[in-house]
Amino acid sequence: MPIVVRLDRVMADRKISLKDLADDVGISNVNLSKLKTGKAVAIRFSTLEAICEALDCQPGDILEYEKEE
Amino acid sequence: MNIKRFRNVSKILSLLLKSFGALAIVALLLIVVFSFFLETDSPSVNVAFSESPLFYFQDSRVTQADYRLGAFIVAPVFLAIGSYIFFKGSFLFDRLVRGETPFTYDFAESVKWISIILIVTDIILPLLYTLIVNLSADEGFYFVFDLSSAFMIGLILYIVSGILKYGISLQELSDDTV
Repeated sequence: MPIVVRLDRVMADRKISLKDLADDVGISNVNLSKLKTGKAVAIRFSTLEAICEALDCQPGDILEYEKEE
Repeated sequence: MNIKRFRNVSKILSLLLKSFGALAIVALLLIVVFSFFLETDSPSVNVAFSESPLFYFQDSRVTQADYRLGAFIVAPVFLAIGSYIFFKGSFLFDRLVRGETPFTYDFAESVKWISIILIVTDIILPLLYTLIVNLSADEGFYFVFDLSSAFMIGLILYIVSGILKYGISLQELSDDTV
């Protein structure tokens, strides 16, 4: 998929666990894990906003676009 | 929605379809028994089309014996396919009675195959009957082609299976959205 999720990188920088981030964002561990491993098909703006607020980062820090060859 | 009432209705429909399937098998067995084992004067099976089929041509030189032969061959095929469809349909309702969700690709695919069998049977069987009558007749010509309610039901079920699949893909998209 061209959109790559770099959530694990930002989580490691902020030293926050999956469970704690899921609690802060208000979504389940399963859904956050899906996002982290790139299995999510889409993300709601409300979820993206909550993640950026919890991690104090920009959407561009979490999401990258890589052109498919 | 009253789940218990829905399951009770599904149970009744499943039993009803099983009964129709069993009746079709009994009718099929009766045809076989009367045709091959009982010596009666004139065992006869009739294939009935609607009063005004789409295409119909009948030559008076084609005899009743030719029509009966066509019916003896086509009627058991029709009854066998009919009983299969009834039992297949009842198994789908059994799944609903057990509390399984109908929103799976497997369920939608079963509905689609039932619809395809209904459509194909409704087109092929009259043509098969026509072919047998014409092959049996020494002279004359016979042709019938008609689309019955089975064709319409098959078409509707095909559309329903498409809608089910669309709903399943929408649900998957929703489930995969975080």
